[in-house]
Amino acid sequence: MSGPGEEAYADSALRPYVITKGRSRPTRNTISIETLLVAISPPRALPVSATREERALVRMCERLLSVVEAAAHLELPVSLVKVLASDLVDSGHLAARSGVPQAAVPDPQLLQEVLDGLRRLR
Amino acid sequence: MVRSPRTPPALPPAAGGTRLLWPVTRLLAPLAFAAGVVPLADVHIGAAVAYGAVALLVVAAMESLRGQHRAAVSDAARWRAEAERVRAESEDVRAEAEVVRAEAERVRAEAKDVRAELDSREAHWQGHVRDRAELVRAEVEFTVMKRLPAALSRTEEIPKPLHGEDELGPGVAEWLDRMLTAVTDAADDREESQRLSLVELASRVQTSAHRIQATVTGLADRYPGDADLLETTMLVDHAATQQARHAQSLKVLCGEWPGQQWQRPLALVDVVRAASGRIVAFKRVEVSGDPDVGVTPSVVEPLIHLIAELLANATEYSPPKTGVPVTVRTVQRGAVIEVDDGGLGLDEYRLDGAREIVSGRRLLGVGDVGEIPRTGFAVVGRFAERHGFQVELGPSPYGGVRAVVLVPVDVLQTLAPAGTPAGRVLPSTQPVPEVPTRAPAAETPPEATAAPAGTAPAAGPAIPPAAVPAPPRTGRRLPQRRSRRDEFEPGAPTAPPAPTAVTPPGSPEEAGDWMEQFFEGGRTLPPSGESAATDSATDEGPHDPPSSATPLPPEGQT
Repeated sequence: MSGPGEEAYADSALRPYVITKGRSRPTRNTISIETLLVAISPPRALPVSATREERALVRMCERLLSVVEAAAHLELPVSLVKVLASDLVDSGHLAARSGVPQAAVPDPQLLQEVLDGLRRLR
Repeated sequence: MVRSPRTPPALPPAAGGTRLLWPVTRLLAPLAFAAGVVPLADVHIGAAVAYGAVALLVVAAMESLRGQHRAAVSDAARWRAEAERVRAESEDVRAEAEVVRAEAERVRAEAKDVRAELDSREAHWQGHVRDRAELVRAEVEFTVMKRLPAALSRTEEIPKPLHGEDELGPGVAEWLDRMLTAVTDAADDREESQRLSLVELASRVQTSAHRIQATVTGLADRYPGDADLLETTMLVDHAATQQARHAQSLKVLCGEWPGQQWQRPLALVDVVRAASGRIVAFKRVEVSGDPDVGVTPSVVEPLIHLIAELLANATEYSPPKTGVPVTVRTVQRGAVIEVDDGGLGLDEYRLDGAREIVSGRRLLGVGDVGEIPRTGFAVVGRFAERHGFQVELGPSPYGGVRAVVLVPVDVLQTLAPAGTPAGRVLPSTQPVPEVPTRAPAAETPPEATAAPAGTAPAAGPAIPPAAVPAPPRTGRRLPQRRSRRDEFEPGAPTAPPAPTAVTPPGSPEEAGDWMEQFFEGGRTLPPSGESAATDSATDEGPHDPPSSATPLPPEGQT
């Protein structure tokens, strides 16, 4: 009973459709892989029925975390984490910040310098 | 013969008289004649001669008559004797016939005796045969009605034969025993071969179901942005999961155990959720309870399957729109999973029967379950019996049946709360990130702290050599990020980068710290408030991660 399919299947006893309760689309379309998630502070208590994935997601988003990184930590496909994150945003446990803030965008000139430097290294 | 009775009395007296009379007559007649001749001769000679001649003729005629008479008499005597002889003979014959008749009579009587004797013997023999046939019949009936079922059940003890060798006749009991052995042997052979082929087919079905799951999971991973595709893969995955469960049920009922094992402990609430994924109406299952109680890897799969069968039963026998509440709670002797359904429930008799089955007290095999619902209970009972789960059924306050599964304490394992680094049991390629939060100051080697986590020992050898030097530097959070980059650049472009490139840096906290720092740095540039380190971050904020200048600010903050 160790066929090739078995090992791939063995990645998780919890199937994706169970994690998202059968949904494949997030409730909001503003969440993408680079969306940054942060837990609402002061933290709101999760309902007792909250799953371990939801608890984990809220907990790891106490500090700012992108969806894709959260997915990597949760070892879940990004598309599932988008659904979960979207639920938690709806329920008011997470806040989503889309994109990188303007202030943090690096100076083009600096980038150019870095690029030049890198080219000189070759 | 006819005259024989008349002649004998007349003859003897006549013979005596005539014998004497006749010579006298013969003597007297010539004398008389002579006497007559003399006078005549005196008278006339001629007359005398004539007279003499006549007298001679008379004498001659008399002689002749006598001769004839004598012949007749002797004839008669002869006939009489003959008749006498014949009569005597007939007398003998009569006597003989008498004897024969008597003999025949005797023989007849004897024959009658013999027949009576034979009849009685025959009757006795028939009675004996009937009795024995009745005994054999009773013995055969007992064998068919009682001993054969007992032998085929293989659990009951086979009763002893009713009658012994002496009563049944030689060999009967022995042959009946040999028949029982032959029948049970044949049944065993057949059953074993059926069992093996069922197990083999079920394994193939299960393998193919797992292959379907793997394929669709891979497909969904390859096109992460396609929600339609994801939805379809979920449907396929769900169907394949149920297929795998049914195949595994069949194997379990055949006495095989799931070869599938999970590598990590799983929280009981997740066990229930995983189980819900194996039934049709998984959305109706509502789990609540302690999220941090888990079970050891060895019982994860059996428990998932057991709960799945209970959930299948609960969802099938309750109204389609109602939820099926499942509660996980810890008790003194372990942990309890309660599954309630809002159906009609079972009457006491059927509940008792179901209890016997789910508790494993009465083990059912694949040949014993007739209908779908009993399959589920039979599987539950098999797992319960094997792994020491106590399964109890009773009436539920929701109206239907409440199934209570007690998971013994020795297979329980407390998991770290979800979301903490130790709580997420990490994959084998990434065992180290637990270190920083567990012992941030102690700088212990990763092996020492990772060992208690359970999965680490197995994962240890899998760590690429190039990844090992990194952990000791993760004592502080941000330097770890730097060090990875440092290492990545000068490091040889070999295989080790693969895991490090995929996995994010350490724990989510580290990533969050870094990210926060990143934005803090970027945003707090104008205020330049709290920390002295901000000035270093202001200029180099965007590209500070690669540099070693930034580790300072977080240390100041934390």
